Amino acid sequence: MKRRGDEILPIERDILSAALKLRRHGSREFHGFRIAKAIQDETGARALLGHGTLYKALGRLEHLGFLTSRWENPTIAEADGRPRRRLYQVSAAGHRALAAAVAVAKRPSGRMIRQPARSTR
Amino acid sequence: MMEVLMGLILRIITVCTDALVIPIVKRVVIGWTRYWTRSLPSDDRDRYLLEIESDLSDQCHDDALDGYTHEQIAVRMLGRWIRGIPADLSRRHESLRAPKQRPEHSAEQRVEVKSTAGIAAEAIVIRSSVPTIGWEDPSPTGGWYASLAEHARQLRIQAQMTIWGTKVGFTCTPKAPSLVTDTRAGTSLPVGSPWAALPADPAVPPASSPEVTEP
Repeated sequence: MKRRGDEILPIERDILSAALKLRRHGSREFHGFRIAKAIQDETGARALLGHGTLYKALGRLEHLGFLTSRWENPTIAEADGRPRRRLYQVSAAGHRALAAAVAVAKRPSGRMIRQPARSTR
Repeated sequence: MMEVLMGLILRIITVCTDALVIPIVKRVVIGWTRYWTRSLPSDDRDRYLLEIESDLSDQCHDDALDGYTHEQIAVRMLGRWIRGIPADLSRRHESLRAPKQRPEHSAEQRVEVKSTAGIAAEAIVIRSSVPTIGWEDPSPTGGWYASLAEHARQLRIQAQMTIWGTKVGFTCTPKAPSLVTDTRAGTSLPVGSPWAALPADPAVPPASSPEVTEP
């Protein structure tokens, strides 16, 4: 799907929305598989998101500044006997972007209203 | 007797296959990730691989808790892998295209930027402590200049800055120490260690930047 600038795709909106829902339940940070499951629960999809689809969307959200990420403390992962996770968190910009995307989705046309171009004269 | 033996053999084969199916699928997915991330920057590649490994491990654990069999887990993993392939390829295409758009900085430039930032930070700290220590420090080679001078010399920095109204100029080359001239005061400070920090006079509006001249 083609997109312009900071426009958010539906999958990215789902990620932000599910992440904020997790946050309301006390999880400030999330990892890839967790958000995939949360999205499945929220949307009622039959299958989990594909690996490539999920991590590409996470990468783009991070690139846009809507998410921040860090590697998990290795001692925690070692104690649990699993690989380290990349932990993501929704930034303030992510909150705003989601609010804007939800507002756009609620409009009858469902399309973004573009600002009129300023005159150069 | 024969039926029992065959049943036992079949059971062993089933158990072995069942136990192996997840590791095999994991190897396939990780192998694919290695393939599509080839020739990408090593940082990005390591990150993608670690994230996929972690994801597979988490899925294996969670699905087992949800009551899925090994075969079902493997099928679910394969499904996720296949559905994500177009996005992987698109991501590879974008990643390979991106570095050409980024400006390349040489190692020297990066060191210079970092060093200058370090000096600037130190100067800001000193400038903020000026009200408590005053400007009476008489010698550019003594007092609180000294550590900065030494630091700057070690880093071989050449820079001019204006920090909160204070003009700070320094030129540091190990072979050719320079003079720093404050055009406003008309003074020229020989910088024994090649460094000078010229305080701004609050009564005098800031003038042009200090000129750095070779001795």
